Amino acid sequence: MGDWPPSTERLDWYSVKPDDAQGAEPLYVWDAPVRLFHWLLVVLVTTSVITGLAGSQAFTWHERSGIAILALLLFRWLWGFAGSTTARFTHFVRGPRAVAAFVHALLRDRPYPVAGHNPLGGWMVVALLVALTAQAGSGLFADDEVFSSGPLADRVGNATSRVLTSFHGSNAWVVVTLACIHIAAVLFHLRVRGENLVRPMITGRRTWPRDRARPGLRFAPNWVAALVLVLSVAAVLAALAHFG
Amino acid sequence: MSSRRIRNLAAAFSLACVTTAVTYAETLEPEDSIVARRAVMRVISLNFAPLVAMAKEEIPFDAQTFRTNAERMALVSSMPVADYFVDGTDVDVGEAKTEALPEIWLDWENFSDKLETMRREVADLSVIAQSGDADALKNQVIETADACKDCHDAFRR
Repeated sequence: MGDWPPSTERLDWYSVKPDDAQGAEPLYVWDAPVRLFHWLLVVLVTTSVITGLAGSQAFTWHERSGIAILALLLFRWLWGFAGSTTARFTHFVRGPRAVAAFVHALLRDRPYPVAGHNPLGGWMVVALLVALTAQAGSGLFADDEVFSSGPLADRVGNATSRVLTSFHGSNAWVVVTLACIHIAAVLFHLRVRGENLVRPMITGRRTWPRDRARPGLRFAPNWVAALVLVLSVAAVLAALAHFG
Repeated sequence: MSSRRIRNLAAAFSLACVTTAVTYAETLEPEDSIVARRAVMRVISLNFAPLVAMAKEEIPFDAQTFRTNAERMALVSSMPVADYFVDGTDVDVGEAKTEALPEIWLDWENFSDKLETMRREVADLSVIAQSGDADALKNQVIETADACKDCHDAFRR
């Protein structure tokens, strides 16, 4: 496995010239762990929103879904430091100049091929991860004082639990809003720019202009991802067993 | 005597004091009305908590406790609770702290409806409790909890 550990060298994306439509070829950008994470998260967040709105009847599943999300998020945070090139925060968290250049290209309707998250999308990933982590974390301590209470609600004082319960209720709409903006952006890329971002998130492959240098992406072996995932799940379950 | 039972008794006692006052006074003083409604909710909550724990299978199902607690809840919830939401008590009065939102008085009809829904669900709970049917009771605990929550979500800080 010569591609391990992956390089964190940055691509000089915004110096790439516009696509002259001289044909394209597939480029592998998303490793299986990132894709699995993404779609599992879609299923679990949807489950959490529905069970969260459904009342006491669905609380058990709301709790399970939240715990699963917490484990998945822990995996993703770790994968952002130890994973494949395109999964790493150092690769997709970009400064204001890169974001400005990307927005400029969007406004000029110019192509801006990126192997991984684009500079704006990278910040959306960070926003979603932070909001979801806060959401799942606050849920652990939430208590509606009638029926539903998070597994660690008894571990904190009443006042703390009240604050976190209230936060859990309002931050849910932050998560939903971010998810809607995220979906709207994907639809924008599809309809306005003719770029399908969904297919690469399923197959792992995007199209890459032939006349452009292929970025040197490195991919972590799947067994490392499996190990990190198992450790993440074990850590969350052990913490709940210990403190719950 | 368990500490829970002592707490139960203490809450029931303070409620008894308040209800005695109600018998003699047409309307409550604002501060007393906050104390009264909080006492009612406290007593309901104290009796409901073990039933919730049974519904969630955190403690073993006990038909007798179910009957006793559901009956107490039905009795207490039949009190004129709406009268304890005296005008101007959407803020703390004297020593009495409240979490009531001003929307209660702005949308009184909706608030009364939710209060009535809670009464109906609690009454159903006490009727079903006579049967001792564990599954039916679990479902009714959930219905009752949702009635409580629905009102809290709309009208509590």
